[in-house]
Amino acid sequence: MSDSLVFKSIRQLGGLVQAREVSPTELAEVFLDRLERLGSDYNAVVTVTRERALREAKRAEQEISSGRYKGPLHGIPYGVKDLLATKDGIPTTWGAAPFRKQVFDYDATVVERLGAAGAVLAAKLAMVELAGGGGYWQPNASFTGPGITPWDKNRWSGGSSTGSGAATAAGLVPFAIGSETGGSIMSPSSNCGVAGVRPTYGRVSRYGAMALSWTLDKLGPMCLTADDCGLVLDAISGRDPKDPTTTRRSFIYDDSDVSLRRFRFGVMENVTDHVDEPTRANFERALDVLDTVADIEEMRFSDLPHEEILQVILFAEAASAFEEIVDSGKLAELTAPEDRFGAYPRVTVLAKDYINALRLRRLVAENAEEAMSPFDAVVAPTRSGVATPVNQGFRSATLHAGKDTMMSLGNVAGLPAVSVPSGFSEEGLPTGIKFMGRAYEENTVLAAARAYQAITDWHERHPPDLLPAG
Amino acid sequence: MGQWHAGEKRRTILNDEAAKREVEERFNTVKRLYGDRLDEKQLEGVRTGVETIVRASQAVSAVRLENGDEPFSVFVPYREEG
Repeated sequence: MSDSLVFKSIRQLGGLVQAREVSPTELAEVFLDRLERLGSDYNAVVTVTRERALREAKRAEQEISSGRYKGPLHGIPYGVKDLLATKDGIPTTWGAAPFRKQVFDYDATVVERLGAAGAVLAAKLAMVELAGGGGYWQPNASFTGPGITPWDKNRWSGGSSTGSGAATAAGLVPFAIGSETGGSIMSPSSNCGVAGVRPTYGRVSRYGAMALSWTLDKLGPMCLTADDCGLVLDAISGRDPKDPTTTRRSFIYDDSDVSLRRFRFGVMENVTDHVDEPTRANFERALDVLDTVADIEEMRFSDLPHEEILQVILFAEAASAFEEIVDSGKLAELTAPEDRFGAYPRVTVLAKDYINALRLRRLVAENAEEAMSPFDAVVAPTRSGVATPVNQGFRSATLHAGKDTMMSLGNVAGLPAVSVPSGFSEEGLPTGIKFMGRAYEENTVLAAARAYQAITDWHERHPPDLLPAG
Repeated sequence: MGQWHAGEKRRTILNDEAAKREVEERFNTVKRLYGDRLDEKQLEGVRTGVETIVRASQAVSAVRLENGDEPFSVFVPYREEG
């Protein structure tokens, strides 16, 4: 029974739990065992929270036995990127050696909300140190080692939500929480061949999350399917007085049938100009598939300097967020050599340039809203290429040096996106397709991704060496 | 509120010489603040980082903004909920 529980969706596992065909404790034991046994193969895990998981699983079991079933997450194990605060003496390391013993006495709001939904915290998952706040250039930028994709042990899983992507793809947890400031949910989702949602800015409370950039940071789910992402987002979203940026617009996941729905998608002109061959080929095949469920038109965004606006905002806010870390000299203890000096230049961002970037942000958002309004979503390859070799720098050595307008614009404007697998390279590395929507249109982009997954089976493929025997 | 028009530039981007001076001035600020803890190789990395920031800042500054174009982060006076 235990092997057959791996690589099942939350929707499937939840059905088994509700029907009492599997108990939350049994589920917890299966995934705790996998986390402990396989986590180090992918440098995916910082802390397995066995004691807390079994306690929460037992509570879930009692609640379900007494008829208090809470919904599809009840009794389902999960992991969180190790930048989310957790109590009970569980370290919250931010992926960085100087903080390996850091402990908080409270749970982040996301962890509280998942607990309220009955989910079971099984692991704190690896991440790039300080979520990339040191400006890393290559995968070996975490005290737990470079994140490794379960599809190839010589390739990178990230970043910066490296463990969240790898643990989900390897069947170490049914789902995980990641964070994105400038691509950190989308990128590992693509590299690891899983589904990931970057919610609209303000949709999910960041209370208890390490701050990298207050006006860019977002938390979101990483799962086996887009449908699962909707279930998790439903549980973690909503107004939180502890995070004043959270929106009062409610999100209730709409999982209604999409089989009869016809979509309208935009594709940014020249979107594949700077992507590698397998990514381009898989994206074009994906468009052919989507043609059966959507009208697809070319579109364009403004030529505002999206990437530079993102950089100025991120650098200025990170300079403030990490001022104490920089001044303390703790950067010298970071793993990646370039992270030991990468934060220093940011003190030179001028206040007027930061303010100007925030002024341009409004223009970016207004332009994006106008450009995207005819469409349900704009689709693009999630990343410009397949996963980078773990021993290769990805900034200087990348073959795909074009600007990622969709990533920069989407994060500057705080727009929701979902990435799902779109195929594989000849070497067996996954590629991803991204559906980006207008602000607060998570249900629309999730519907689009669900429609794509309903007519493809990429999400049903898993790393061959991790499939259950027989 | 001002309008942005594609291609409209607010001012000329710093020329190469001016940009180099800007990089050197900002680099010297970092060196003055933190130079005692950085070796030569790290300082070269810092210089590259400063160049990135100056280039990004120039690109941001090059887009025309009207006086009324406010930052997107709007200050809202605090009042306890409930």
